[in-house]
Amino acid sequence: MSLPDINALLDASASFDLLLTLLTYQLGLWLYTRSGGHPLLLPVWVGLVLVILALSLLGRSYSAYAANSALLMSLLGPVIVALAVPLYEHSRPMRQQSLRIVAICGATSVVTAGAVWLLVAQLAGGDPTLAGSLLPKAATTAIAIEIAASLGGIPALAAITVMLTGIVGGILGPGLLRRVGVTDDAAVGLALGVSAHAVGTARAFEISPRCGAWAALGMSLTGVLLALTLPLLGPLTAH
Amino acid sequence: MILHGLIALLAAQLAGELLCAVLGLPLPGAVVGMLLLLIVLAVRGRVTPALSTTAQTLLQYLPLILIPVSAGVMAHTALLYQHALLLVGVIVLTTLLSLIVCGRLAQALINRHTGDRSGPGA
Repeated sequence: MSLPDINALLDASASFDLLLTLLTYQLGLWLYTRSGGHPLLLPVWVGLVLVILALSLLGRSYSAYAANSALLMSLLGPVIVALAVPLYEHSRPMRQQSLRIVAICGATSVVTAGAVWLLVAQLAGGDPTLAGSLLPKAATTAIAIEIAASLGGIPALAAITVMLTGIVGGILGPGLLRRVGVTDDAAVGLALGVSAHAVGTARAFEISPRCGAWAALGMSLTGVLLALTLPLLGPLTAH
Repeated sequence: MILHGLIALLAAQLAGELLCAVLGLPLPGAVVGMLLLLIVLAVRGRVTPALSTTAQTLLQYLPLILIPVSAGVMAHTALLYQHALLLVGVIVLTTLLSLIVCGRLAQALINRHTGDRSGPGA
């Protein structure tokens, strides 16, 4: 069989592409555990790099891989809905303080989104594709993908942006917060969750369970706040 | 167990999507579905074991689900190379900014209520 024949075969059935995704993710999980949970070896990162590498080496198109991965991608909606369960469980003990917490998350999101907007305007002439992909960076990946689509950004670029954000915040966050005088575990946790979502939350749980709980709450609230406000801007257009 | 939970999640998603379509809301239907489910949980005051199991299982595999979507960057390599420095710069700067703003705000609220260690502004 010649190579084009093999590619046609791989395009025609979902088995290879699903196996590729599952195997590379499994390898990522193994590496992550072996490394003691290093933020640079996040399973999704390793899986993603290996999938892109494999598809490129085989000379296959992303559209064929995406079509074959419909089974996994259709779970994105239910997973976003499922985020209601941890949000409910983490917010219940902090109900009395909910207004203050929402205010902190909201203020931080406005400042951060404003900074993203200004930087893209100054450095890239306000490129709407870049702005739409970068603005949802503080939301969890699943939510950021949806927001980027509604802003006219590139969902995949938004996903990468979110992952990088998590890595930067997870690695530099705890040290930076200590240096600027943020000492209380609740404040450290909230900042890590609001700024660096899942990776930040994982780091926060390493500090203390209380720190982790606040991070989980900050992460969920920020995702919801961004998802309810950013899409109202509508598809961004060039000026 | 997992089937019951999945039915609840999909029903909430569908309700969210319908609500957005009917009201003309430019919001992601799944996020509105999540809020609807959150309201139901708050009203009932508890999470059923079936829903809890399904949500935990699905969320555990969230990174796996994200790989196929994220691999879409391979179709945009030109854009990525052209703006690599800008992307990394904006991401690093705004993440550090977010950490400082949120951390200081929360710490300021806690300091105003010294003696109470339960959380921001308790």
